[in-house]
Amino acid sequence: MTQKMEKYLTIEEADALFEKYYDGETTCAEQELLQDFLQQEDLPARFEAERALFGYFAEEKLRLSPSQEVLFESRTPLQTDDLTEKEKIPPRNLLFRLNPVLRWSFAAAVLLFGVFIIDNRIQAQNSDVAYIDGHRCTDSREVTKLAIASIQEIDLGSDEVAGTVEKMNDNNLVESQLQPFQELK
Amino acid sequence: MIRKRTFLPLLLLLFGWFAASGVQAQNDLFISKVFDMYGKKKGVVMVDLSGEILENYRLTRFRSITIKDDPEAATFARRCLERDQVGAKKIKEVVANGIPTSIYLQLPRLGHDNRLILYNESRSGGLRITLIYIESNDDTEAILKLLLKKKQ
Repeated sequence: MTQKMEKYLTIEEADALFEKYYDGETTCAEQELLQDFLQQEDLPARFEAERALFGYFAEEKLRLSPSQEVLFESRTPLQTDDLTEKEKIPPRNLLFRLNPVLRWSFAAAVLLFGVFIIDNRIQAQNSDVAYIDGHRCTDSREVTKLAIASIQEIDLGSDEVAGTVEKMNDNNLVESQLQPFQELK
Repeated sequence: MIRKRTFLPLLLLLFGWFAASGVQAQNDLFISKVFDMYGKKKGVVMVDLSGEILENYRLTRFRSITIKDDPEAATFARRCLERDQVGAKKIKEVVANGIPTSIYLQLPRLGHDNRLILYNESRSGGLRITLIYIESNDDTEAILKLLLKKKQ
């Protein structure tokens, strides 16, 4: 369904133009159309990010002196043709710097990561835990008692275990077993 | 277009989170499934130590689970042990009526960690299985000596 705005772009036209805008291919006239489009009040919420971005440009234009304004105009992601290689800013970086949604989501990601690290540290400090019939217990005395009880269930007392371990750790085992055969030479 | 980009950092964060949470030495073992599946059930006592308590024992990880009267769990644990035996050294195995009742395994080292699995199955006074997983920088002999000391 096409929602036609009076003397403005349709939503579909605006979407197409925004795609073009983010690819850095719009002309000044097209940007003005987008600017006008965003000034409407009853736009869907998904245009908030673009509204913020264009609002920022408009504010900056008002704030800067005429000479700076010319420079500012030339530094929008869309008008980089006249700049020297040094002056050109990659459109993606500029988009990231100017887009508040992207900036805030990055900040949120960093914050969440921080919370995760702290939470992990706290968990590592309190990671002695037991579950008895599904009930969590963190009382270190009780947990130690349960750990020792589980060890007592295991039959470790036989010489067989000690003997096997000794054999496994004996690096000269093969040599000593081959010794009688060397004497046959 | 923007929305796709806003999700990227969050997606990366989630990916990092899952990756970090999965890095545990015993996760490569089948017996970890026994702990995961039965650890919080009724009639089960599970202990998981990796913090302050172990500081005095020179162990880096201790996990044990004792399951009462659950033949299905015993069968599952034995199957997991069979899979974990591949590449491991068997310290002891006791078989009664064709069923292994005691299995002690020394697993291949993982980095600096020496890893042991001890399994015991007792039928006196009802079926009772105990499975212990230990990680330590010490050698097997030292770990077993420590456990023997704790038994006394």
